[in-house]
Amino acid sequence: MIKTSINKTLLRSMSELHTWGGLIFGWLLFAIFLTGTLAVFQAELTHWMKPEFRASQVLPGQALAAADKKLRQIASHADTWTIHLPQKNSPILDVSWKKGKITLERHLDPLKGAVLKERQTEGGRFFTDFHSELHSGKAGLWLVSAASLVMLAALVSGILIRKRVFKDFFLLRWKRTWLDAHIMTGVFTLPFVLLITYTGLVLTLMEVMPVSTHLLYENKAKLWTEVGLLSDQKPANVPAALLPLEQLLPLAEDLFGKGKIIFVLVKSPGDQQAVVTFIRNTDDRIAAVGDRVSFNGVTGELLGIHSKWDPYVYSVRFLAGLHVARFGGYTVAWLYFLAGLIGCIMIAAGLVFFTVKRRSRYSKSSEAVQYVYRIIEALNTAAITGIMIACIAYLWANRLLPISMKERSDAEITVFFGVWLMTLVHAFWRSPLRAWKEQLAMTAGLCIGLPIINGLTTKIGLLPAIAQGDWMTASVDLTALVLGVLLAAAAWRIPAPKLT
Amino acid sequence: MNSSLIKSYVWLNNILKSQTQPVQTILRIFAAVLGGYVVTYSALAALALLLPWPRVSVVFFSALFPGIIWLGALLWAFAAPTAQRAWRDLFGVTAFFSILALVASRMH
Repeated sequence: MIKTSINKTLLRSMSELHTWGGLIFGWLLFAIFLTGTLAVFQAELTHWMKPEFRASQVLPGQALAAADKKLRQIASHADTWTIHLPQKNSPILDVSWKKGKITLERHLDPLKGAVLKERQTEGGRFFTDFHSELHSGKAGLWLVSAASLVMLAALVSGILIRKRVFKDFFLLRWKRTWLDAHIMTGVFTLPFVLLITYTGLVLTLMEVMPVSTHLLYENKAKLWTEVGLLSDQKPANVPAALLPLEQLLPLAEDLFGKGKIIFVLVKSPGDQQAVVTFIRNTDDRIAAVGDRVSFNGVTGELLGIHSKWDPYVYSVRFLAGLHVARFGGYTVAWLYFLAGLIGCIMIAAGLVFFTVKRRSRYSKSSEAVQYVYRIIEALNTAAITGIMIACIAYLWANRLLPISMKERSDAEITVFFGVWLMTLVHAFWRSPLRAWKEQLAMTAGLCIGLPIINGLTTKIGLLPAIAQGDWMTASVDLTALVLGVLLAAAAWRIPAPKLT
Repeated sequence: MNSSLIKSYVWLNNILKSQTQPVQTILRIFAAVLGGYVVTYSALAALALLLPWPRVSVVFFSALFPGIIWLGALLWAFAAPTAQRAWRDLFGVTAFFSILALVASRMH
């Protein structure tokens, strides 16, 4: 008797946690899931957003020589250089250098080393940044951590309050309701969502709550040096000529394989104690930690090979690798993308169900309660269709803003946030059903229109891209097209609001 | 001065003991946020100071767990029969880990 009443209160509190925690954090979680899903194709989106440059394959040695030459010209007094060698999905040669606290970045033609005059853009990196810290630094990281915790709590409480979901799921008892859409997509993506949320949480909590680092280390740099990710070699302050970097590359490739080097770091270039580190790509293993080898930059003497990692460093980087999904080529990337989309549908269906369930009920309640539900409806719309419009508008902005505009990357991001804000205003202005229908239609239109605007403003429209075998560009267009058609079908199915 | 202090003490005491729905919910939310934070923090501190491994291993080993510790605290904050019970338990766990951490730091 007592036991059943305890169970009842437990179920009720779990149900309320799921409902209200899911609602409040669902708005944030949908945005995090959607941008995270897009971030799977960060490199491809960046490629699409820089349409002026389409390189032919370049040997790593050529690219490194080009970077070396340019950095000697423009950054000879820097503390460190970072060179990102061209890869299959990112043919541009990216170099950056750090002097004191300032880091500067240039994009180079990997063959000639000339600074590219392409349009300035954050590219797909913005989605990754928004996904992990909401484009707002440490506060964003805390919010994302909180949302991840609530996501996990929602999984646990969701399973507790509907224990028969698994049975229903496997017996294919699927009804065409918002609740069933929420539950069935939830069961379907449960392993994925559990994995992606927990691994994400490990990464963010390590950033915001570095308790053991505080207790055991004087500073973070010490930790990274001990892990083997940072060199602690101090400059001698004696000038000496740096060896041509491409002379050292074959030594690193002997160790890690031809074409396997992705990053080259140079510490104290032009100093007698310069250190050149080559970092191996991690695209063929899950753990996202690149083996590395260091040489003295003046004498070429081998300083150390780091390919055996502390087992727990490896474990954490293994989880990180499972999160960022760079290990299995396009098969794994598309699987993550699809699972991410279904996760988005799960969250969206839950949010919609919250209001659908209460719509008939609250039409009879007091004005204050009605007002609260009106706000929830509007926030739901802006959180689901609004962020979708903002994401696709970001890609449109990339094509439509003047190419030589000042602060162009920031302007693209301003478009993202500005459009999102406008969808919120629109959601308050229109009646709920109308807002849903119009915003879904808007998303669908922008998605279907993306290949068109791309074809009109660049030389790499859908057909030319396919003709040239540039599938990275064509796939962005095609994916937008497919998603657009699906969203249009969804918009079509929303009942026309009654005229009042 | 004194009487207003006493009054506010009584007022706070009444709130903290209240069994009404809104107060319970607010106390549970605070338990999930603050209680979750201190439980996780003290558990990480105890782990960091107790594990006799190289410090790199300790840092990365303990990075595997804060999510599950905080999740447990959050769930208990809402699953406990009353909010007061949740607060008491979460503080109990925090005290336990803190004492462990203190003892360990003495031995360091």
